[in-house]
Amino acid sequence: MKIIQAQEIKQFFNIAILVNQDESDSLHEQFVHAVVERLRELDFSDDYITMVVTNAFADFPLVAASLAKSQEYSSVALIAFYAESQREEYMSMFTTATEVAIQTNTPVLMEGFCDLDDSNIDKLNHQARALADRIYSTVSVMEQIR
Amino acid sequence: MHKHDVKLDTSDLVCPLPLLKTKQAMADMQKGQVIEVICTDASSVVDFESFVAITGATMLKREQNGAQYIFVIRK
Repeated sequence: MKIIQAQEIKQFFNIAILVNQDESDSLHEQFVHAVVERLRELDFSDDYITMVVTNAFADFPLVAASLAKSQEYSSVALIAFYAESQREEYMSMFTTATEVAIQTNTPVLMEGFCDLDDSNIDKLNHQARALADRIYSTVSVMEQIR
Repeated sequence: MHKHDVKLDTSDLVCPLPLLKTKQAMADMQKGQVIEVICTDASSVVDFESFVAITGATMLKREQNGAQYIFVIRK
């Protein structure tokens, strides 16, 4: 059994975060910032976090596949901000994420947030931190699987 | 009741880790052998449907038992 210390994780694991982010929407920025802040708390250096921004989550399949196939990342996290009218399209992305994960042996995490609003910032921060914890958990377990 | 050749408990792992562990376990199985996978992540239901579609495996059974999701898959 191979045992690694949590603080070593930052040295070995690259994470790619793919997000559809409207630059005019500060809430999206805040959310992503909260995810990254939590990852820093978990000892991930900025050097090992790659942020990829697309205009629309329709671009996710192509970009996620490209990131995962590069084999440079221990985990690829997809953060989709979408409107209620895009729910069906968003749900179809789950299949895509699964396909990419299976084909590349790279965990592709998918989290979506529908009609994000600023009425409950605490909840948003909690969701962002939970996502970062999930990324951390995933890369930790991947080390044991590989 | 399906007999299984391999049992894999992925409780407490979040998707897609159960999938990747299942794929890894199935790599060592012969065609026709059966694996039972236990998950606790609710999104595994959707994920495993995609998994069998992509890999060409057969879903023999899926059931929910409390907080557990159990999938029986033939390679």
